Amino acid sequence: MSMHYSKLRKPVIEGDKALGQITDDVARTLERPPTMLWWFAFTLSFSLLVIGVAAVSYQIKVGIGTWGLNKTVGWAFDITNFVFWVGIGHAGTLISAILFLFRQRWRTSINRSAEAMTVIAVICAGIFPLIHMGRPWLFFWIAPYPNFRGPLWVNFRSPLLWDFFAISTYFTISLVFWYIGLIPDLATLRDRAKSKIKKVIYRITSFGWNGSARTWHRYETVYVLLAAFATPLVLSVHSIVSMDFATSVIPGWHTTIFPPYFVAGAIFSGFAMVLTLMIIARKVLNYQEYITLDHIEKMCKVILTTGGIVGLAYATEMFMAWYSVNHYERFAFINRALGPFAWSYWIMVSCNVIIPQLLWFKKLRRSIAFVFVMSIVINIGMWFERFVIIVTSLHRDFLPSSWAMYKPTLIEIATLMGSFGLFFTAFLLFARFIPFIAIGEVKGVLSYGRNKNRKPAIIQNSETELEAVEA
Amino acid sequence: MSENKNKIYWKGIEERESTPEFIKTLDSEFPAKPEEVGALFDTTKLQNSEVSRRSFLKAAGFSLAGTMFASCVRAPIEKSIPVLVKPEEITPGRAYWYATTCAGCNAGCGILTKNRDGRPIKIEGNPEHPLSGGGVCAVGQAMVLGLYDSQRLHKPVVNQESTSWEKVDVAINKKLADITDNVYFLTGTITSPSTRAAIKKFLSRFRNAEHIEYDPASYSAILDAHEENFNQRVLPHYHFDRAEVIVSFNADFLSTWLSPVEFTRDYTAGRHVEEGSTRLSKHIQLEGQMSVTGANADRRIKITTAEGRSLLFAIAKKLANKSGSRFPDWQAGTVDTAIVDEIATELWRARGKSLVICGLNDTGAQSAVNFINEKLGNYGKTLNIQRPSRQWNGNDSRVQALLARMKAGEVNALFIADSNPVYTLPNAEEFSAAFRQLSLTVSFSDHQDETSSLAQYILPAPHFLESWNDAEVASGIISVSQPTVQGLGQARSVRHTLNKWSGAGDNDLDSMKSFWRQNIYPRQSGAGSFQEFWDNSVHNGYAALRPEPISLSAFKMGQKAPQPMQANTAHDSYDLVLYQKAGMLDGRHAHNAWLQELPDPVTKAVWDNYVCLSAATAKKAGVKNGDVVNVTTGDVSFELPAIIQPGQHDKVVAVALGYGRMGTERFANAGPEWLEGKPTLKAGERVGKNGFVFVSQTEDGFLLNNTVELSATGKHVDLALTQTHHSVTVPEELGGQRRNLVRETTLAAYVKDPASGNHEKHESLQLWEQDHKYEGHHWAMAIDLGKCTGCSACVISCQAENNVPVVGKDEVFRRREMHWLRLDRYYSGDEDNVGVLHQPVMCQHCDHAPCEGVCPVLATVHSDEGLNQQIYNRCVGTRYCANNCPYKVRRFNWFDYRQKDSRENLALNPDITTRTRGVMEKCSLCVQRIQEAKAESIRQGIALADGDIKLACEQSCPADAIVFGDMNDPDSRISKLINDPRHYRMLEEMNFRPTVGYLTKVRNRQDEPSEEGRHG
Repeated sequence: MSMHYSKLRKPVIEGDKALGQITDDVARTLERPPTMLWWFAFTLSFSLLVIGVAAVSYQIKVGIGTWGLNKTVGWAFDITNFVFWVGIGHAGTLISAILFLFRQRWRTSINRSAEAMTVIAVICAGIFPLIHMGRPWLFFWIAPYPNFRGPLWVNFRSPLLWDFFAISTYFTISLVFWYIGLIPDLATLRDRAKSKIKKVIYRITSFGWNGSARTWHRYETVYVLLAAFATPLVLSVHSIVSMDFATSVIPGWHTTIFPPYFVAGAIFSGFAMVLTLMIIARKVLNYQEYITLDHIEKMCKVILTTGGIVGLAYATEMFMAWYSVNHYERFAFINRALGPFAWSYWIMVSCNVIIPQLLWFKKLRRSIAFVFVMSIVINIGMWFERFVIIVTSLHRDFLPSSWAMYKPTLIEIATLMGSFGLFFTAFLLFARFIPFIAIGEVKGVLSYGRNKNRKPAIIQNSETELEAVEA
Repeated sequence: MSENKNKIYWKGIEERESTPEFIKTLDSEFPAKPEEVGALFDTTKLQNSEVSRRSFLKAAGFSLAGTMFASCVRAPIEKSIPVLVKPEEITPGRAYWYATTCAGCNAGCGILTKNRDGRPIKIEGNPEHPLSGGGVCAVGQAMVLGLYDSQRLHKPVVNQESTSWEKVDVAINKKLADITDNVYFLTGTITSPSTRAAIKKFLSRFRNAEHIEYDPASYSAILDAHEENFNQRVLPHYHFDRAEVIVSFNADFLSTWLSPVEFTRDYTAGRHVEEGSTRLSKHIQLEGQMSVTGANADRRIKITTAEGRSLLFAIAKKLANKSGSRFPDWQAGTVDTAIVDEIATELWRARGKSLVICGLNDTGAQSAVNFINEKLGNYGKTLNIQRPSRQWNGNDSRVQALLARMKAGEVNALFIADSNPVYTLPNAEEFSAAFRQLSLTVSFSDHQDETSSLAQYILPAPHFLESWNDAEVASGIISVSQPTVQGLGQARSVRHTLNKWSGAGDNDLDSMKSFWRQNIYPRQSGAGSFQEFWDNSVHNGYAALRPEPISLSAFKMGQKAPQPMQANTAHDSYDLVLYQKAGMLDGRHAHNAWLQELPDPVTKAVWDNYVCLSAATAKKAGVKNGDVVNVTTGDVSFELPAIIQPGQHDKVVAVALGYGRMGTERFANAGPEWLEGKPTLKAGERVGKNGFVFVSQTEDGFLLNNTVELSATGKHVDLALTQTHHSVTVPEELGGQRRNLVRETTLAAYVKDPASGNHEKHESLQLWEQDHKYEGHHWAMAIDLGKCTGCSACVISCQAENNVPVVGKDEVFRRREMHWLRLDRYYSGDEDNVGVLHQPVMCQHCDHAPCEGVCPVLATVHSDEGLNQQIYNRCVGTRYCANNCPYKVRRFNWFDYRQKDSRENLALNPDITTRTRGVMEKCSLCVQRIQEAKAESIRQGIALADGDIKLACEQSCPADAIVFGDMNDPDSRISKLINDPRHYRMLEEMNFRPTVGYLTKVRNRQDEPSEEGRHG
């Protein structure tokens, strides 16, 4: 691939890095013992995870009754968390697949961690449909396979089944895509590894990578193909998730706008989560030169765009409720904005539509502290968006006699905390054992936006460096 | 072996070689050392030697064989062992039925019990019974659970210790030998002539002995007034079907008053709405609290207790003027003359076709009622005292006299049956103190209750489903009760015990039969022999008799003017109305978990009683729903949560009776126990509070009214309500549209246009023309909102039929009640004129069912007969179907809702699986009944006729409001109802195509409903 040399472009990677320096920067994090800060974060996350595991174990032992659900509100925290985590995942795939196909080279310094985030988020998401079942031990009944129960086929009309396919496909492709991208870096680690065990592990996991031109060629072919596979998933997975609601008859769910609205919301929330993680990681792992202010600003722009789509969707829903002249539909939306769960609606609107408008200011987009707070605000808002859609639509539907309220139990709150615990535990382990930045890919964009006439910095401390980047 | 010419097979070289060592081993089966066997029996050796595995096994085998040998004696006969030789009429898996009589209350409805495998599992109405005619109320339905109550006493108890009947008989007879006089028998109303005779015979041994009947929710004043007016203490037999105008003062005759099932049946028969044959009585209800009956009235007027009495006197006076007679100058107080004129005019117009009743236990008021009915010529037409009712015969003044004699030490022995005075008397403490002093106290009770636990002897009385009995509930109609199951304990009926003590035989059936032969058989005509008459009576469950002659004198007013009743004008004092609640009645079934969890038809609350207040009163007292208020009168007070009840008079507060019963502590953990689950009751607490402490005593008897003061306590409790939004109109601030889910119209509008109030029709386009053809049957149901009174019998019937679990108060509070059939209750109109509509809602069996498409595992599917089916064992519990159900009829097993009293599992219907945790369930339209009827029709080769299949809810409905049938059959009742202009389906515009439909309620009013007001 030819590179663009231009004085107008800013380099993607700052700090005038030499190739070997990148390898060192990334690999050293894995080679030194974990810091106190890591241990602290890990302990905290793992504690949350343990709380979550305890809560889920108790719930599976005793029953779904340990959640605050009732005859009217059959889903609440469970599916809210599910949609939230699936949504988070979408940013990673967008960054690694769509931005790859669109030749957005800045993606290289964040794609590895964003993809890891996707894989972990999908694991977090996938747990919820499983544990929300009344009889989770029979989860395999939703898989169509020749069985001894009749054989009993599954119901292909059910959006939950589509969900099952969508999520499992998404998880498989995300995992494979992430792993394929990881192979050259695993080879680098193999070559750097000093202990015998590490060498063996990395040798096996790097699938005999030898860095030859042919290997690189095959690798890039596969990578671009997988990117092409993953791209439609960015749009389809959340569209299908939204059909859980859109194909139903409940006012507030039965809405044709849901697929694009959900996809935009997913990318919106996913980028917010990427920002939260990257802002911490660049500081803690000292990657400020890789994940630069430009990266943050670019992601803020994506957030501004998708947030705008989400805001438009909110307005469209309201308009359509009025325009439909269907009084059940109208009521569902008036009840969202003014009913007993109005607080959650206004948290959603404030966090997702009103506050993100501040990102129109460049100064704020480049303010690390502001963007960090903003990313968390958006994640809270997007969690509440799913809560609003699910709970406020269900709690007051057609027959006023059955209207009910919903209040989460401690078990549900602990389960939500547990999912964050799982997410951060897994992410911290990822940061410990797998190169946080795609070494191979970053090297490819090292000269991007650089002055061609400048000499590269002298490579220092480069040890068994694998000179494998293209000329 | 050697004789065998065939090949010789050998097991080993040793055998083939026949070595001497081998031949030696052949003698013993096991090559063991003989001293080891001896060691088993030598204790010293046994202690010293290690017993080998082999010898241990030998010893074990010997002991086993020995035990088996020893147990080869004839074991005592347990009659509950499965039958090896099948009785001819009993096929396992097939139900058989007994006709019997319900004893849930005194009304004595005819019932059929469905038995399976030797035990009753379901109670249904006996359609041939002349009074109840196939209806059963919620209480009656729940009696089958009471039968299996593990806390029922199964053996006599003496001074709190279990003993045997032999000992008790000897001990009591010994005591009785010393007693010659002042023996009293206190019972509830005894409707059984044979028991009554047994009591009479027993008491005849003593001088100055008396049988006193006492009903806690007393009808004494009605009887007393008739004694005063007609010289005969009788309770009229009312015929609501013959009345064109019904005026009821505080009488909740559709739910608890006197004989609610019979009255509901008659009432709805008089309210027939059909094009061409409409006959709709006019029902005016005057009451202070909102009752089920008031909810059904065409016109409901809010009154206080004193106002009601004044109005009665004023109406009587007005009618006296019209009929040219004189009504005594009783203090009427200030009354609304418009109401007096309106009611008097209505009544006068319907002379001989009207009926006035009053629920106030006050002789003055009841005399005025008698005067009005007499002057209107209603006697002999809408109410009958020639053939009076025998359902309630209590006499309050005699109970009061008994207490006085007890305190004076003039009582030597007191026998109590079917009565719980320590619970129900307002001065229970005086009673119990005096009771404890008596030299002989015997209680015939099936539980340790407030009274029996104080008695020296508790002699367990059997459940009515396990004993013989009879009941003459109305003069000339005798019902038979027969055992449907072998007695579960050693209970012995009162009649049996007394007859035994009187020396009249030890066989209860024989003594009852001989009583019938002498006293009942002579009053019948038709049957040739006694045996034929007996057999027919037992088979039918009832028999018609010649009524006993009764001599009535001509109507005359009593001379004594009633005590004036002061209008309650004080600022914070209120009229307290103590009312009976559907299901709980006077508390006699407080041990029944189904009834405790039955939502009150009006308030929709379960597992508690509470103070009903009007919104204005609540505001004045500064309380909201669930805030605990202190109710005080004199030195009596208790704390109960408040419920704001629309339609309640501002000066009236109402508290349900039947709560605070001893033994209800057992329900503390009625529901699932988990981390955040709250127990149904706190430790040591009872369900609700006893309202009887507020009963006031007048010289006429016990008045279920009082004057009380209210004060807020600042405490709050969570009321478990099954419905928290009470209007089909959404809140004003959220749009205020009316949802057209329940429809009603007025008679005036209906006459002009039978489809009035039901103009909202929708034609939905079909993408596929008739994609499902339903070529065989296509089941459907229609519910007439005009007939449904909200009595809730269907809820318990469904619960009993379909094994619906009890979930406890906390689960209901969390909105997780499991009832497959619920009664939605909606209020309409303003506070001065509150309209109430009851709507039974169960699975609507949509032909375009939203639940079916969304289940990933095909656990809910549509049958080719139009049923929406839930397949429990396929369900993985995603709850998507429940979310997508627009009617919210699906119920999820949040926990393992197991019965806490495992004996009550015997009441489970074996045709229905119990559902495990994590599985969705809902109304199946009693698919088991449909399948059984279809199988039977195939077996017999006779086509299914309309009405052959009766669903549980339909069967027990006293109002016949529910009709189920095949809408593919053009002549079926359901097909006709579907074409009725009043027929509609809920949410028709959404095109779910429910097969359950409703019929508009028509109220007998002249004002036209405003069309916009009634349409959404």
